[in-house]
Amino acid sequence: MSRLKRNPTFPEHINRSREHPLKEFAWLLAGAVLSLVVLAVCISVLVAWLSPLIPFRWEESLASSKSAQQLELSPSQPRSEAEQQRWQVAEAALTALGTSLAESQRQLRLTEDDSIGYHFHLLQSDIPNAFATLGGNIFVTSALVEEVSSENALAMVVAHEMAHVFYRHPIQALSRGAVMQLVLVALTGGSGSSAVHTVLGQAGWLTLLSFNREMERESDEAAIALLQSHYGHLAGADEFFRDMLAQQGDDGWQVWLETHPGLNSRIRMLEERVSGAGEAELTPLDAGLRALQRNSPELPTPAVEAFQRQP
Amino acid sequence: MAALIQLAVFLLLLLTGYFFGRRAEARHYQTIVEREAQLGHILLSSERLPPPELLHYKGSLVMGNVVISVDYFKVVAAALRNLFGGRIAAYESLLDRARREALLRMQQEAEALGAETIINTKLETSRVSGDAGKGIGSMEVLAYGTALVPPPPVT
Repeated sequence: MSRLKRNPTFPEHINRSREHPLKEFAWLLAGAVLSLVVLAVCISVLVAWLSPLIPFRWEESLASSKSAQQLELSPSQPRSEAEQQRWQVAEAALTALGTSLAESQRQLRLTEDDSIGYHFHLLQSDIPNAFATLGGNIFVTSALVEEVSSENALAMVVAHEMAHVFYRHPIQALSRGAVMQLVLVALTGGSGSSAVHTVLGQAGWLTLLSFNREMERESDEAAIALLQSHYGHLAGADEFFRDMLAQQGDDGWQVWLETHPGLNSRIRMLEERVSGAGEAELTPLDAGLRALQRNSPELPTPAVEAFQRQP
Repeated sequence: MAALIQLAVFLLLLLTGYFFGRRAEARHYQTIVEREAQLGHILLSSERLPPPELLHYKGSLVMGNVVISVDYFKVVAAALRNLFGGRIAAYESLLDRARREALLRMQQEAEALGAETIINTKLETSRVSGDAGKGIGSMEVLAYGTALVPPPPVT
């Protein structure tokens, strides 16, 4: 074997790819994100189909009333006895409103399933909000009660949350999230890159959010129907949405990043139903709830204030 | 909003990784090609025994060692590959660079000894993961062989 004088020069690109790295990356990313979106849609559809079959009793035992009470009784400052009492009266008034709405709902005969029960709670918070969780627990924050000027406005929010419970949305959201998390871990757990997990996770959640917005729309629809049958009109129902719009504006194009549909579209939906109803009389807020609105009696009475706030 | 911020951070990291990683790779390849031409006269072979005419040369161990870090872009590209399978092109160029650089450094050592032939060349590759968890942090490639050093001229 004769010896070489010099090491041979090999052509480049034998041991490495000629392909542009961005091209490969784009294909891989698009493929991964698309598959995950399709997967998320399949999971969502399956969950929407299956989770209403979970007995409501199971849901109730999952969310024991104990944990709900803990959430409710967690104000930062200890309350005085008078405050405590006022709180209880207000909560009773809220429950009364919810119960009468539930009665109207039952008369609408939307379902055969009468195992669904509602539990209403007042939550100490500075943020006007309301939400429904597992086991038919509906929370309304004190700030929301302070903000509304009529029972109709509060009833719209309560009816919306009741619709969530009625359609079994909390258990759907929980199942969706849990299954999605499981799929993500199964897919990316082995690859060891948190970045891929993040990107696929975002793609998955954004897909789930669109189902979330759909649930909100469904609940809005149901709440409108319920209010229509309960009060005979829809006046005042859009107050909370309008207040929110005035405070934080519409999400606009960013709505696909949000859990709820845009406020403008929700108001529009209400307006479409309201048309032709004319001026109807608003039902004033129950005295128990009104007592929550202002702490000092020197301030103008809520009735006057409600009058002033009419558009 | 949080989702947007998270996505923006990810994109920024990815772009940084891509831009700097690609620039470093291009520069590295440039020097590799240059130095391969310069050190081409230091012969590399994987033969275990010295050629018969060099039997009287003294054998000496020479080594070249290199550690190259993976950039963020390559990590993500490889992780995506993990989902679908196939060639991880991002790591192929990384290893190619590391191997050639290690050989060059070994050749430099041999040149310093005055040797012009290296036999029994071997390569070792390992992962220096650092705190990259289960992922690959950086690659180490070690090239080692026996340099045949000519005996000092008889005076």
